[in-house]
Amino acid sequence: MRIKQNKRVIEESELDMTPMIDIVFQLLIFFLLSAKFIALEGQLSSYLPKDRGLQASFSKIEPDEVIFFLEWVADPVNDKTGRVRCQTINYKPSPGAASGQDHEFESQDATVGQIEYGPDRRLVQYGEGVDMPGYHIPNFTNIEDYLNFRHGLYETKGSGKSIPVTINVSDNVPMQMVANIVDICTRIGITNVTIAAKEIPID
Amino acid sequence: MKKRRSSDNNFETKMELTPMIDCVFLLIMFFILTTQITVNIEEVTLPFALEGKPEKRDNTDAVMLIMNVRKSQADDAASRAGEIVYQGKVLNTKTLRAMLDDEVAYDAAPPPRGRGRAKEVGPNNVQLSQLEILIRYDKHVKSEYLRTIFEQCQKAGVYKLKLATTQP
Repeated sequence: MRIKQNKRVIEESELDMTPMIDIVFQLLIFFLLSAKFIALEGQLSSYLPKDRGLQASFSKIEPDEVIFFLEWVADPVNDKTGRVRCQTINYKPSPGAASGQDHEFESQDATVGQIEYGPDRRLVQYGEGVDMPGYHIPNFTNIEDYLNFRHGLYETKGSGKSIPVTINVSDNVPMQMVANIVDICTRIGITNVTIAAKEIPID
Repeated sequence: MKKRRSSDNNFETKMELTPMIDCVFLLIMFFILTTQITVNIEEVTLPFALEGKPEKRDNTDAVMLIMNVRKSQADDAASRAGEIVYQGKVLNTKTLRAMLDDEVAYDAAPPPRGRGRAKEVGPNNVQLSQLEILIRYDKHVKSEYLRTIFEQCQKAGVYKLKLATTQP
């Protein structure tokens, strides 16, 4: 009798939680590791021209096309710092506009400019002392205003297409500058952005 | 004497293997997952962009290759020279093109060998690949490699490119 009762007590043992906790931890680690990284990044999508046959020839400069020239002007004393010179060149202005209109955007010290957001989350200035040491970068607020103005002019013509924008960037310019201009174009709604294949000398 | 020996024998129980196997599996899974991440994704400081959209997952068929442009590790940090890195390997223009051609061929090959996705035919009967390429470009690095990647992608027939950004 005594032995039998003992057996019954053993049968009614508590549920063992340890394996379940093991498995739950394992699942936790799995999902933490597999789900974490890429969701934090944004993406600017772009499509290259589908027609490879055209790329060897010069593309035509369209009237009203906005061409950005981004140049790296190194500091003569310390070549690790410098400024990014940004200008637009209008080779074929639309009738009525001043011919050969040339717009240079003043550059300013990136250590002064801070990241701020306007009321409508509009970009005020990129750049941070820690991020862009010793760079003088163009004032992107001016660039955005200028692009907005040109985009508005183009839209009133009612061609239904986006204004063409070409970014002619010299080799030494940091990538952030290109991303900024693409970003501004995306925000305004300009989809026709080209990166120039070969540099055309300005002068 | 005899009794003692038998009690001694009782102490020599079998070693419990289950927790050890659990731990080993856990470690294996951990290392598999972490190495996969480090192979494709290099440590780069991505450029800021407010308009960067989070990755869309609606097209589950999309195959995305991740290409990194990081600061060159041979040069000193301030020179802003960079290198194109794909799956942990540094590529130059030639090897970049060879890699792209390989990936495009693999993508288009029928299932036992590849993924078997049909190529799209663009203007002038140009064969276009369905591959997508995510470019993770360090924002401090010179932008000259962007042009190289664009040119080689276009020659290989890859036209869907994405630029990775981060929110400021």
